[in-house]
Amino acid sequence: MSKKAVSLKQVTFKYKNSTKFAITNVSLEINADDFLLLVGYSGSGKSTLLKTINGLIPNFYAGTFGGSIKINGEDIIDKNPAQLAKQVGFVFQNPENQISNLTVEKEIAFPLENFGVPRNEIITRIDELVELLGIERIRYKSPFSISGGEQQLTAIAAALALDPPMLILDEVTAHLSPNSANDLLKILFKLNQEHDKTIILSEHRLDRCLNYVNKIAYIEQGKLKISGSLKEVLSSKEYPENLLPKVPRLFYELARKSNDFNNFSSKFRKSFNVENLPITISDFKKLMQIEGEYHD
Amino acid sequence: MSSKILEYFDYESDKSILHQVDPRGKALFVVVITCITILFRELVPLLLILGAIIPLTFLAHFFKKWMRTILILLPLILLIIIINALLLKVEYPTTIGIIMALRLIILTAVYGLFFQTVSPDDISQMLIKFRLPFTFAWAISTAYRFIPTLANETNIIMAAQKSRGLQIDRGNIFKRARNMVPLLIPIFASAMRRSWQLAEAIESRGWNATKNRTYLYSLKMKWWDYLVILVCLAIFGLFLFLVITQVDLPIWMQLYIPSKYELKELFKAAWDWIKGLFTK
Repeated sequence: MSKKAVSLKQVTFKYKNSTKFAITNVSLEINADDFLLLVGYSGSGKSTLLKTINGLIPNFYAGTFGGSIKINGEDIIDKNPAQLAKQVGFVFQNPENQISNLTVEKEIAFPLENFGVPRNEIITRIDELVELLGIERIRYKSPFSISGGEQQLTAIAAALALDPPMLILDEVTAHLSPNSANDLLKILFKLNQEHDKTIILSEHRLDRCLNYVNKIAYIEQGKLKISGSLKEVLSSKEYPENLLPKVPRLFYELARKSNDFNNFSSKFRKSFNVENLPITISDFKKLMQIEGEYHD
Repeated sequence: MSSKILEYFDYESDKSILHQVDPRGKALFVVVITCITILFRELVPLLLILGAIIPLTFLAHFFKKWMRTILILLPLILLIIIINALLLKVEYPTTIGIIMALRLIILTAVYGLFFQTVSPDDISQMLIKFRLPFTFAWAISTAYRFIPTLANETNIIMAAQKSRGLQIDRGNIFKRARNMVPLLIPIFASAMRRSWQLAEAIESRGWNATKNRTYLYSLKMKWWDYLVILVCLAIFGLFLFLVITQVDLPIWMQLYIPSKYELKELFKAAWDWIKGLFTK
């Protein structure tokens, strides 16, 4: 039984000057070793939900708030984001708008300076972080002369500077090329596996994350529809087909077709059961091999 | 044009001698020269100051950029000389016009030197050393940091609006000003959005978490910085002495352009000459 990192109970929030609730009655438990993927259409309340965990809501944005949020068993409702910075690191979508210092190194030092950490400790922490994230090359560069992926890594380094046990990333790959997005996800996976960070990621393009995440939560119009392991969620009826990753979508497509055509063996048809839902390409290969329909 | 003026305030990371001087020393230098330049009313002392500053611009690798700025400002400089020479009701109006222009030239050099050699981070560090609150210093360096981002965005918005048929450089000056409105709204909106996102980001990075903020880098005075400050104070002291004691400057310093060569007279002569051409 792993430790609970975050527990949300009946969290509801309505922005000031808005007529409808951004999120309603969201209850969610996140374990300390989780790599959670938050999925939903644009405007479904993903960002709002993430901001409640870091205290930006309700302390930075005015509005109506209800429910309770606990981080490591501690209630955080009246803590502002600055007080929570040691517990939660937050990385935003647009790398340009979250970097306010003129070199990468100073950007990483910024949170440490805010907390009054002595200078020599700041330097050792920067040394550690640039090595961990592989950004030694750009340490003394301006954040505006480096690529989007490197900017996002800088932002992650700054979020990790205070060594929070949890990292929240709000659509961080949206501005990146496919390659740098993959590299970024690999680094997040490493942080999750080797450095025991809880990672919560919201993302539109699911396919690239499937190899790394262990849990998924689907939110629709401010309501948390379903959450759980990949298989649980993707095989659920609550989950919309539009948002399915490629492999499960292909699986469902074939399942439908298998009833129409006679050239599929009955054994093959039987395997098209939701319980066998493949998530990744290698899962799919395995499924086909069991049924003897596919050979390398 | 506008982007060229912004370029003038650009910091250039360089390893020149002037870059190594503490910004506080340079700030004092700027203040002293500004006071002296504005208060001297004689031509020769201003020329001497200009003569002293030109080597400094070479030391900071600033001379070329300064000359480009002067070229841009040339119409303004000529206008200052001509208007003063023609309209002032004093004994030597052309000299006064030239003094005014010289002041402008000297001040562009001095402020340009400062911004060329002091990085925005150093400016904010300097303000912190002057006991200004960190919030204020941070705002200054961040404003500076966002200049290129906003300039870039302005170009994108301009291109977008042009591609939708907005004609920015058509018509007279009033029409052109009105053409800018469709640019201002999106620029303003995006700047607002940026500032919100930046506020969120710095809040999440522990903004104002403690009162005793530390700094990765802070300024330290070296021996040559004390020397610079000493020299600046000496110059300022000399200047104050001259002002307070009202000592007459030596004759050679009180040089004026003789009334024979007053701009008004020259114009009159030229006008007479042209009239002569037609009456013959």
